[in-house]
Amino acid sequence: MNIKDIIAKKRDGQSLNKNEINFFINEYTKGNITDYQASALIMAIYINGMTKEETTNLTLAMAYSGDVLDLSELGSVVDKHSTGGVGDKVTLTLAPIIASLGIPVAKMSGRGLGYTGGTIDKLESIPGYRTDIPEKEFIENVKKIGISLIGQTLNLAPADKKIYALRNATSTTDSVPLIASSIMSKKIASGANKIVLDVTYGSGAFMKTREEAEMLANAMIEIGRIANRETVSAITSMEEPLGKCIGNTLEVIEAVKFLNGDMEEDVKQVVLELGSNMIKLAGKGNDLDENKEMMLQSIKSGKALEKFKQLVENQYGDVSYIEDIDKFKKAKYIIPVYSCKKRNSKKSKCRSCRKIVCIFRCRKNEER
Amino acid sequence: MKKDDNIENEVGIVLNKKVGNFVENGEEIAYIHANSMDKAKKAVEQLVKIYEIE
Repeated sequence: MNIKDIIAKKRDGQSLNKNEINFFINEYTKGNITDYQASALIMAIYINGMTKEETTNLTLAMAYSGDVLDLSELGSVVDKHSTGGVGDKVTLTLAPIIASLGIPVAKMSGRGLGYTGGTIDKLESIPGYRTDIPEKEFIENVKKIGISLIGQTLNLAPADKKIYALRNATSTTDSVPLIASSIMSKKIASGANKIVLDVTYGSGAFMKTREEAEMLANAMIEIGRIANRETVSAITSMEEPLGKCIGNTLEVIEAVKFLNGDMEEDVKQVVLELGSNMIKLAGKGNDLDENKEMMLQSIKSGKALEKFKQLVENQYGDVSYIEDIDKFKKAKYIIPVYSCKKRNSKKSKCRSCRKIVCIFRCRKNEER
Repeated sequence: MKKDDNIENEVGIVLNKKVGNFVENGEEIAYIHANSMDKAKKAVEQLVKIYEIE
């Protein structure tokens, strides 16, 4: 097999078979295919698209290009993925609620990509919390208390990382088969066998319209079906940051308040929507409304917060910060921003908000 | 020392007004949490531009 023939085939609008896709991913991961050849193929895929089968084969090839986390001893693990947005504290709140209902949560989360902190950055703002515990301890934690949230210590889907970087540099990011295979490959490599997706759309998201979001969601559901990973998707609007807080510590504080019953309406809607579907996939309740009620009960009774405290304690975090959120270190300056016109505040555009967070996230020693 | 020790976790933004909220003239729309006045000022400038108020 020869990469030039594969590129030519895709360039001419034909479908690639499983062997051709596997050859490309394996050889590119090893460095036997150059970046410019891979770029040409990615551009051909971008322009000509991919069938469901091609997209699934690409997903599986990328998923198995590196380490694959084996969670089989935990039974059926339901994972969730959000296509993101600013101020996304969904995992911080949703994971302990789900775990408090007896559904195992074993999640390897990523760091922030450029602008915002990821779940891992947020958890690390809790003094002592360790996101780099070994895989064995991670699995032991889930067995013991039903939940563990850590960073990516394994080399998961390295082919996806390489292709992601290429897409960023070659204006090929917004392609449905490429986005869908990228997300699903990471989920499969991190051991999920059932997946709940949250595809966001709007000015703060990758997908600008609901129709585009539906297309992406359907592509991922199809991959899940063919790859034998049951997948469902919620589609939510993301016109502004979720909740009120943006920033690592500030978002942890908001999450703790949420688990204490002080819930921002938009965060609550997303958490209940995703959670009720996770409970259903886990086989713990078929009625989504009843599932939402179970989740609210878990917050009301304090079980969800208790589970979050267990998680923090179990990963060497100082739980006294969760018990008393005033203990968290505050920024030196808290500056109010005043409005200068009347009427409704319209769209707070997330993209630009992200840039602001980026200014802040610069490391202290880089200050000039 | 970990590689992330220098990240300023405590900085960020707290939104006081969101899409659809009514805003009085001169009312606080958000709070900037920052460790340097310089960065805070930049953030205020940008945030004022981001909020569209009719």
